[in-house]
Parts: sequence; structure tokens; C-alpha cells
Amino acid sequence: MKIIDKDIVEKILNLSRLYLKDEEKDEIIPQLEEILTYFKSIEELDTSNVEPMFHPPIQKLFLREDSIEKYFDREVLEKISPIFENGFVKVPKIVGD
Amino acid sequence: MNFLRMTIKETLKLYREKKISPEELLNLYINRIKDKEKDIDAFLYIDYEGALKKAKELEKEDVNLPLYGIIFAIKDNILVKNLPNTCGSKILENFISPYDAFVIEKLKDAGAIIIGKTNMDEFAMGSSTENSAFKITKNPWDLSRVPGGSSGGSAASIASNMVISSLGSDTGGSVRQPASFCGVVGLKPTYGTLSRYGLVAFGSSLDQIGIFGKSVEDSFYVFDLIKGYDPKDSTSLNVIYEKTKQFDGKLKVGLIKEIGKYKIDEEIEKNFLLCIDILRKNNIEIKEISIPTIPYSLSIYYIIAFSEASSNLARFDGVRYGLRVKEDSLKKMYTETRKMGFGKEVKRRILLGTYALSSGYYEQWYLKSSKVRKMITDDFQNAFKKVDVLIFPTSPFLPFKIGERIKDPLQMYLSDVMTIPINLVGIPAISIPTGVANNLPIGMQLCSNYLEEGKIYKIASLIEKEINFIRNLI
Repeated sequence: MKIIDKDIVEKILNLSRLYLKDEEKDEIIPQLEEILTYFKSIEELDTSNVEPMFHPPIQKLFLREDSIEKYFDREVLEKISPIFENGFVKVPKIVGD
Repeated sequence: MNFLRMTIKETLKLYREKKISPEELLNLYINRIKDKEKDIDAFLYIDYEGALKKAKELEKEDVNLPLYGIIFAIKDNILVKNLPNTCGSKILENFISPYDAFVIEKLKDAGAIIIGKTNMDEFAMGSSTENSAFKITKNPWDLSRVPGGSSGGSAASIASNMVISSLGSDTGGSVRQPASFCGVVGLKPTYGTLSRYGLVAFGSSLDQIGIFGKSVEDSFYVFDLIKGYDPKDSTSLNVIYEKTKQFDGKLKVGLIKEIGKYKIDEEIEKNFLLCIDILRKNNIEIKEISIPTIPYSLSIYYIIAFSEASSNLARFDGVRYGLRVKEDSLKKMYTETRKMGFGKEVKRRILLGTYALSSGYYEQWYLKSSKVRKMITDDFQNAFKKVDVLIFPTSPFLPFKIGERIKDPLQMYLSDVMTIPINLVGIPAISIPTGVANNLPIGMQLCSNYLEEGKIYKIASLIEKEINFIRNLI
């Protein structure tokens, strides 16, 4: 049975906000299938009693104090933003009329 | 005297003896870049003006600064204030860094001169630097071959003597593999010792900044100057940082039984045996150990790296910085921006990562991989109960031809089979040049347990001294 099909690719394209032309999909689907088929070998390992590890276990992750710190001046943000108006980053309209 | 072949230590001595000034040396390097860069394409951006300004300022500074006048190249995913930072991607083509990364601040404070930003696979995704949206970097040893990746530009810039040292990032071998392909030293220290603040994230639990050097001593010297606790990186290690010293005492070196079964080029195998002989002659005990789960590293590494990348790269949406394709709806703007901005390999990885994290597939792929990651880590910990340092080749093959692997993503992924386990566990490792075959360099890799850099320092120095690798053949 195939791991990846066109429906799954459509679903993940939408989730990841990406777009592929039909010919690009035809190219990528067999590639994804080949890659995932190779990766599937991990299924043979019994992990039923193993806790997952998401980070190297050298030290526990920490959060810093939730305090206000100055990072950038507004001019800096203005410089790197695609559209910056009146002190705000401007995006297309989100709410309806 | 060829100034361009000097290590950091040798260059600092010249400065202190007033044999040359930073500006004079920088001009020699600039001439070298003007001569070599057109063939090698190591840089995405060269800041002659800024570098000359810094060199002039140094004339008034203390010559005893630890990196006084040392010329550095920086991978284009580590932020240097007021310089471009593209990550090799169209989506950041016009982005100028608003601040310095933690490690860059340290370099600058120590008196380093930053000459430019180096080429890389887009968002560090690749093993050949062919995935850059802008250019392909060539291997200085053979211009028809790749320099390795993803930090190919940083490795090539030092191998061709265009800089004295450079920084890269290593998520699955992106410092060590290009170091091996270009015949230089590449150090990836313990996860958490070099702050990732100002490093553009790819796989956050795997990413670590690394150092390229002309000698083992140089790479540890730079490491010591840029490491340290940084509250801005939630994974930064809050420990007491001391100067890395070569371990004083007897060390046992381990050979990994399972790697003996990997397909490795004959010339590399021969060189590996030569290194083991050197260790034996120096009365180092060699012991075979087993890491039974190591053959699964490649699969789980990619599943985890893709998953983390799909999440990290969600920030490139056209809203706050980088490319924006103008559209009248928000969703269309996101999609068009990402369609235009990302290259093929980045899209492939985001798609696979999104798949591995999505509802219905998460347990089978991401969660399962994270459990196997724990098993591999435990296996390494058991190995380090028996031996101090592990040795194995950095790459199973010599630098390959440009175009040879780029069309087959799985073949490209397999290039990293030797370097990947290190990042999954988070331990330190180094690649050192140990020989030449068919006029191409070979690299060996050494790794030790967490924060035991001093152990690999000792063994790496020993091999380096005995092999006397003729660096700078180019």
C-alpha cells in the first residue's frame, strides 16, 4: 500500500501554506513515497516502553523571567517589514465588512 | 613567509611582534579573495568596506585582544548587524540583520574582523551547497566537485585561504561534512554551549553553531571565546564555562561495530585503519563497542529535522520581514509568498515535516522517532561507560561531483549517515583532515560524551600531529 497519495499531499500543502503545480506534484509524490518507504524501517523497533526524547537531556529547558525588555526601536522594525504604516505592520484585510 | 597560510595562533604572534598590521594583512586577504572567489563562489556577500574600517580601528586597540585582527567568514544564517542574511533563500533576499547573534558579539568584542557572509544550502537544508538559491560553491581541491554542505561556503573560504577561520551551523553534519570535504577542521561542540540567539532556526533540538579552523588548536580556541550562557536561548547551558584543556590522563577509544557494516570507500577505510594504528602506537587502548540502534539514526533524524523545520519555517509568511507577494487575502498572501520564496528542497522538507506532525500520522512518525532518539541516546551513554572517545570517518565517500546527487533527494540524505547520530544525542564531535586520496581530502570524526570536549581535543591533536596533513595545498 502506498504511504502518500494525492489527497494527503493536497491536505499537507494546505496546512503548510504551500502551492505546487500539477507537474511539480507528479514529481514530488514518488520522491516522498521513496523517502518515507526508507524511513519506515523504524517500525520494526519495539518502543512500547520508551519515553520520547525531544531535546538532548543535558539540562532541563527553562523559561526566563517574564519581564519587559527593549529589543528594537520601531525604526528597525520599519526597515525590515515589507509594509509598515503609522507604526504598524500592514497585512491584507482579515475581518469581513 | 606566506601570511595567508597562518593559523590564528601564528597570526596573533605576528601582530604582537609588529611584523604586520591588521590593515596590511587584511589587504593581502582581500587580494586573495579577488583572485580566488570567482572560481570558488564561497561568499554571498563581501563587506570590504566594513572590514577595512574595523582593521583601521584595531590600530588603536590592544594588540593582546584574543582575536585581534583575525579575519572571519560567517555562514549566511548567523546574524551580523547591518549585513544581509539570506540563509541562501529568495525569501530573505533583501533582509538586513537588525542585530548581532550572541556568538558574533563575542567575536567582535575579541577583535575579529568579519569579511563576509558565506554561501549555504537554503536554510541549511542540504549536504552539498547546491541548494543555495544564488550560487553553487565549488570545492577548492577540485572545482568540479561539491564542498559539502550545508556550510559549504564557510568550509571553502578557509580551505582556499580567503579567511583565517569561519563559523557555520551543524544540524546533522553541516560543519563536519564540509570540513571533511575541504580538508579543514570542523568542530561541533556540545548542544547548548554556543547560544543559538541570532542563528536562524532549522531543527532547534539539533542545531548547533560550529567552528571551522586551520588547526585543532584554532577551533577550540575560537570555541572557548564564543561559548557561554545566554538567557536569550532557552537551551543555553547554564554551567561554569572553563577553558577547554586537553584531557590529562589515559583515554580509551572505541570503534562502533555497526559502522563496520556500512558501505565506505576503500580509500577512506584505509585511512581510518591508519588513524587507529597511530592511536595504538601511542599506547591508546582501542576497544570495539556496540551501538545497536545507530542504523536507525538517519531515518529518525530526517523525520525529526523535517518536523522541526516545518514548524520553524512557518514564520516566513510575508508579514513581518522578508519577501511579501502582494495579494488581497491573507491566506493567498502566505501561500504565494512561500511559493515564490522557498526552493524545491525546502518545500519538500516542509511537506514531509507537516505530514509527520499532522493528525493521524504524528504517533507513527514524529512520536515514534522521538522514542527511537531516546534509545540511540541511551546506547551512546552505555558506550561511553566503556570508552571515552569514538572514532569513525566523517563521510562514507570522497567529495562527489556537482550534479551527481542533487536529483535524488534520498541519495543526498544518505551523505550524512556518519554525522547525524551526534546531533540526535547532542554530544560534541570534531572532523579533522587525515589524508588525501585521488587529490581529495579525507576527514575523520571523533566524538565524546556531553561537555567532554577536552577528550576529543587530546585525541584530535595527537592524530593531527602524527599525520601532519599538508593543509593549504591549494
